[in-house]
Amino acid sequence: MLILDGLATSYGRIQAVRHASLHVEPGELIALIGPNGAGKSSLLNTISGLLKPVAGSVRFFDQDITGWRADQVARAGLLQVPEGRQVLGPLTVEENLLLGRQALAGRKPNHQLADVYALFPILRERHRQKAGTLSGGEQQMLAIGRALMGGPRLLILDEPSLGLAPIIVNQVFEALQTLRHSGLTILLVEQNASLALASSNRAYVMEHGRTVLEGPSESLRHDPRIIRHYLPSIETTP
Amino acid sequence: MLAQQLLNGLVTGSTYALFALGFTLVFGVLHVLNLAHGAIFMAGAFAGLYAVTAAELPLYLAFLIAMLSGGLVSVAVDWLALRPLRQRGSSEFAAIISSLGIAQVLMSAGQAISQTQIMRFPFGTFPVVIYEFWGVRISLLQAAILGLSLLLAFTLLLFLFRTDFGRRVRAVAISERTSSLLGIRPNIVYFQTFFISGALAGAAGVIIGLAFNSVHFLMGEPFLLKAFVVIVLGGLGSIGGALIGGVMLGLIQTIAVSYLSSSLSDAIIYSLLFCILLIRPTGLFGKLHIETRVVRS
Ligand SMILES: Nc1ncnc2c1ncn2[C@@H]1O[C@H](COP(=O)(O)OP(=O)(O)OP(=O)(O)O)[C@@H](O)[C@H]1O
Ligand SMILES: [Mg+2]
Repeated sequence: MLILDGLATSYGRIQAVRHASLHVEPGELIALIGPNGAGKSSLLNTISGLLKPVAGSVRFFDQDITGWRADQVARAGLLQVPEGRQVLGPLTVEENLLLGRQALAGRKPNHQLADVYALFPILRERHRQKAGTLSGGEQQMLAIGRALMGGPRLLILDEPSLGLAPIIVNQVFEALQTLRHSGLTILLVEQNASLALASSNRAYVMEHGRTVLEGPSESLRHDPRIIRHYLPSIETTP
Repeated sequence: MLAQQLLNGLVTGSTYALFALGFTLVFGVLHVLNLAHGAIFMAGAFAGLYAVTAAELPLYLAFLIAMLSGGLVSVAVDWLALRPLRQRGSSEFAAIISSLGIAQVLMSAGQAISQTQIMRFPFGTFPVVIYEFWGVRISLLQAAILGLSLLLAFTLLLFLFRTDFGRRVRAVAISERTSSLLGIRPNIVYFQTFFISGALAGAAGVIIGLAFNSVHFLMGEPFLLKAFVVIVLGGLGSIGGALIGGVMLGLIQTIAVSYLSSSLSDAIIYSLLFCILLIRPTGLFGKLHIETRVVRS
C-alpha cells in the first residue's frame, strides 16, 4: 500500500535522507529503527509532504503521491503522529480530536469520538481540558486519537515513546497492538529498538539516510549486527 | 449628564472595537500587524457610500457591498503584499513595511477617486430618530452602532469557537505545520481570515461613515492609531479584548473631552497608553509576546 523507492531529501546542503526504499502491506506493523540523526523523522516528513523529496518516489495505494502537499497527503488517509506529539495546546482535548476529522475530506471515518475515548479513557475524563495541560503520555494518546479521527488508511508514528515513563509506554504500545488487531496498518519509527522489534512483524534499519537492512522483526532481534548496535541496552531498557 | 457622556463613550468605543476586530483577528492568526487595515476600512466605506450615492441602493445593500468590497480588498492586500513574504519566510517586520506601502497605494487611489473631497451619506440615508430614557438621549443610529458592533463581535466569536471553520482558524494560528498534517490547507485559512477581517473593516467603514457623517481617503488613519491603543488595552489577538479595549477607550476619551480638555484628549489617551506599556508591557489583559494567538478573552 505504501512503496518508497530511492527517496532522498535534503535541508539545503545537508542530505538527511540519501536513499530510502521500503514497502508496507495492508495489516502490517512495520518498525523503522536507527540511531539519532539517521534521517528517520526526515523520511516520515517527506512521506507526509512536509519536506519535498529531491529524488525517488512515494506510492500510496494506486497513486503516486511524490511531492504532494502535507494536507493532500493527510486527506488521502496517510496520517502522521509527529515527533513530540504536537498537540494544539491552547485548544481543548475534544477540539483537538474534532480537528482530526479535517483529514476525512468525504472519506468514511473508521473511528468515532466514542472509539477514541474507549481506547484512551483518560481523554474522555479530560475532554474539556486544554491539551497543553496534559501529561506527556496523555498528549501522545491525544495525538494518536486525533490521527484516528481522520480515518487513517496508514498510520505513521514518530517516536511515540519519546520521554514517556515505562508504564505509559506500555499503555501506548498496547493501544497500537489493539489498533493493529482491528486491521489498521502502522509504520512506526522508534529509537527503542527492542520495543519496536517486539511489537512489529517486519522492520527496517536506517543509517546515514539509507535503509540498510530489512527483515522479519523476529529474525532481526537475533541478528548479531542488530544486537551489537541497537540492543546492547536490552537489560537496561524497560 | 454623566450617564449621557457614558452612553456617548460607549457608542464611540464600540466603533473603535468594530474597527479593531479585524485588525486583531489578522494578528491573532498570522502574527502580522496589518497596517493596511485602515485603508481597507476606507475602501469599504467608499464602496458603501458610492452604492448609496451613485447606484442609489438601499442602505442594507450598501452595507453588504461594503463588507464584500472590504473583504476582497483585504484578500488582495494579502495576495500582493503579505503572502509573497510569508512564502519566503520573511520577518514580521517586513510585513509591517509591506502593508504600510500598500496602504499608501490604496489611500492614493481613494484620494484620486474622491478628488480629495470629504463625502457624506445623503441626509436621510439613516432615519433620524431620537429616543429619550430617563433623560438620556440615544439616536436610532447610536443604538444601531451599539447593536451591530455587538452582533458582529459575537458572531465572530461564535464562528471561531463553535464551528469547524473556527477550529481550523485557531489550529493554523497555533501551528501551520501541525494543521497541515491534520489535512488543513493553511493558505485557505489565511484567505478566509483576510476576507473576514476586511469584511469587518468594510462594515466598520459604513457605520463610522454614518456616525461621523464623513467619508474620506484618510479616514482610516486615526482609527488605525486608536486600534493600537485598543489592543494594548485588550490584548493583541484577543477578540473579547478588542471589545473591552474599544469600549474602555471610548469611555476614557469621552470623559477626557467633557471633563478635562477636548484639545488634550488625544494627548491624554496616548500618555495613558505610554503609562500602561511602562507598567504592563504585555497590555492590560493581554500577553503581548510571541505566543499570542487568537484567544477568546
Ligand atoms: N530542520 C533541519 N534543518 C537542517 N538539518 C536538519 C533539520 N532537521 C534534521 N536535520 C538533520 O538531518 C539529519 C537527519 O535528522 P532526522 O531528524 O531526520 O533524524 P532522526 O533519525 O529522526 O533522528 P532522531 O532519532 O534524533 O529523531 C540530521 O543530521 C539532522 O541534523
Ligand atoms: Mg526523529
